Amino acid sequence: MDSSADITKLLINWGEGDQKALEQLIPLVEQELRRIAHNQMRREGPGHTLQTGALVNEAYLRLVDQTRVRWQNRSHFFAIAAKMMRRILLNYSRDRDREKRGGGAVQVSLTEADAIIEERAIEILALDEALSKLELIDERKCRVVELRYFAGLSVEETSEVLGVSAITVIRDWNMAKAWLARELTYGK
Amino acid sequence: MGNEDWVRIEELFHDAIALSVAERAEFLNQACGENHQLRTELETYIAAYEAQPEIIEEPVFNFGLQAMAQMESRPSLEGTSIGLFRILQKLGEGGMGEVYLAEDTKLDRKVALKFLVHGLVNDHSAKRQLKREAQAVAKLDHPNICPVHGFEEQDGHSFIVMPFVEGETLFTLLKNQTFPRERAAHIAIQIASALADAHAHGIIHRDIKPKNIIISAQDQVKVLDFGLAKSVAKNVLNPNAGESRGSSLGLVVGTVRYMSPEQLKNERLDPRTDIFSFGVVLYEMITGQNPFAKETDAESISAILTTDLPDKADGPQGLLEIARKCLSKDRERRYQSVNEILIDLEDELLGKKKFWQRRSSARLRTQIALATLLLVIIATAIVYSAMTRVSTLAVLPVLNLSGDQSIDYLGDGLTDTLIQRLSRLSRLKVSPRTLVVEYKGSSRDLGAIGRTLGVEMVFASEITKRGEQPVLETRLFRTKDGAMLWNESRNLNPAELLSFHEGLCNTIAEKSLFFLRDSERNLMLSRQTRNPEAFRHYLIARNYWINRNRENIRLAIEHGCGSFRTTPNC
Repeated sequence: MDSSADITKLLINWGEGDQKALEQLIPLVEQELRRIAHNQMRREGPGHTLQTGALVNEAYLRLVDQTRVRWQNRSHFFAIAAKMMRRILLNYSRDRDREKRGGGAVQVSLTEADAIIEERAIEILALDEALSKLELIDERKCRVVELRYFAGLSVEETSEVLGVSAITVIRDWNMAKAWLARELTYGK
Repeated sequence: MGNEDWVRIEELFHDAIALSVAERAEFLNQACGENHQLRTELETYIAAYEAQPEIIEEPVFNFGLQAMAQMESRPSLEGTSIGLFRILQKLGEGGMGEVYLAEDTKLDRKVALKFLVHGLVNDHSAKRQLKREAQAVAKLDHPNICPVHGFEEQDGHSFIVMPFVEGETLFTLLKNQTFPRERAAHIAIQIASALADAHAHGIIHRDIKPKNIIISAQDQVKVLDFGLAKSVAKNVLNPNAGESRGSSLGLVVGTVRYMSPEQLKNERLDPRTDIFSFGVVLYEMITGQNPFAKETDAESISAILTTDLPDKADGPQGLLEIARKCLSKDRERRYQSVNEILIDLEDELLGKKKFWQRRSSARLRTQIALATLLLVIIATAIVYSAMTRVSTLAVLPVLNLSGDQSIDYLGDGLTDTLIQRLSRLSRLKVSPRTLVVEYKGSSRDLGAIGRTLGVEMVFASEITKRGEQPVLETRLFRTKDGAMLWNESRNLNPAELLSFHEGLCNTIAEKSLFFLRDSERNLMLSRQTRNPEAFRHYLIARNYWINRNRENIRLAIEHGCGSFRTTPNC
């Protein structure tokens, strides 16, 4: 397969303003993420506990032909990965939530692992809703949260993707956390 | 909110959090002035920031990957090696862990390794929880608790190293059988002692069920999976939610059928939740039935929360009683500590009566102590009242039925001195001589005399002869029921009158009183001559004096002087 060439081309095109390229990119990136996820779980070598940012990078390195892309393409990829992860998790959480409510009977007999995942899913649903509100007030802060929380990027990587200073990322991040915490506590 | 406001709020927010807490109030005063709305708004952001909610602190990218991979199970670790452990086979899965049998290649022994389940391998809070479990169990050292060898983090795996316990889980054993009374009690005692030890160390198991109890071929019990069912993820909406609850978002985790009502209601848990779960296990061991086993979990929950146990069940009733008490829906009405269960179980094993099982033993022990104390008090009171109580006695005149007039003097003399001596005892009220003197007749109805005189006891005696030997026949008669308290004949030798008299006083006093103190004996016999001859003269003198006329008075004086003469120190 030569998806890496396809993805590279699509990234370049998208970077040049081709919105159709994005639509084609998304399923390819998602497929790659699934593959990484699978490998990640299987892996037993010393590299098992990679940092999250490193995982996204690894996905990028696998997907993209680096001789052909500029550094901005990496930022685009991160942005896509973050958005995608947000979407994947939202869908996943909605499914979990629906499953839980759907059965009619009280859902019990979860394993501890299920319960933790379920709690995380509920957390994500609530956060996603708040994040959509934040996006209306201050879009950049929403992007910062997406990149840092959903893609696990560092402050530097985030500043690179958004093209702002690291200080700005830190300030946005602090304000966004305060805003989200307030929203989740008092918003309802 | 306009964009300008937002920008202004953000500027002030950053300036404020850069300041120390003490400086902030002044800063807000200046920055907001009279704009209370702005100030309130700002303060909520600062408070939210300061509360350090854990939301979005840990990125969810990994979690997302896990979610994506969740449907595919982790390839088994069997056959692989982690550090010095060679993994042999999977033993089981449950809670948040997977347990493998492995070989410690260094120490050449079998061990059990507990990993996080597949979905949680990269979850930091789950890892912390696993480590906490290891730390909790490491505190415990009890023969019925499966210990921890260590906690390892190697090759990206976090796992607990435990000894490999050979045996069957109680779950497997209960599939085909119920346990007879003694075996059930024996196993229950071991489970309970494990819990007692854990509770003493502040550790609540929260997940007591047959699958977590391993029983060796020798019926040795090991309880597994300690301190596990603790919520790991923090509640988004309420990060400070109590940690000891089952699960912070109200999710019910684990096997419902062994859960306590408070666990299902997501209330704060204490050791009594383990007592309930223990009760379910005990009930199942002896009846073969989990009382809350139903078609669906929803029905089981409802049964645990609301349905009373059946009135009757087959099985050893003593153990059933204990299980019932554990299974009270109101935790205040259960055993309050596992130690109380242990006492009842041990009593049951020893076959004590039901009475012992019905009460909580702490209360029982108090009751026994109180009852003992009461008995001691009563006994003391009885002894004391018997020792201080005043008895009444009539000493009837000694009759001379021997036909030997020469010893007539003995009769009246003895009577008089007996009355005199016995009257010295404050606990004995002796009828005066003037009242008894009329009962000199030979046919005496002692009961009637006693009643007439209003005394409890009547002492009567007659001098007879056995051959040439004068004999004193004595009787002590109880008025109330006509009982003969004492009946005896003793030889009467005029030469030994003194010792005879003393012996008689002693015996009458002892028979009439509950207990004769030495001090009383001394008082009674004091001021008594030690000279038998003097005493004989004295008795004769008393006799003449009692039957006095002109001649007798002279004789009395004569014998009285004889008595004095024979007493050198007098």
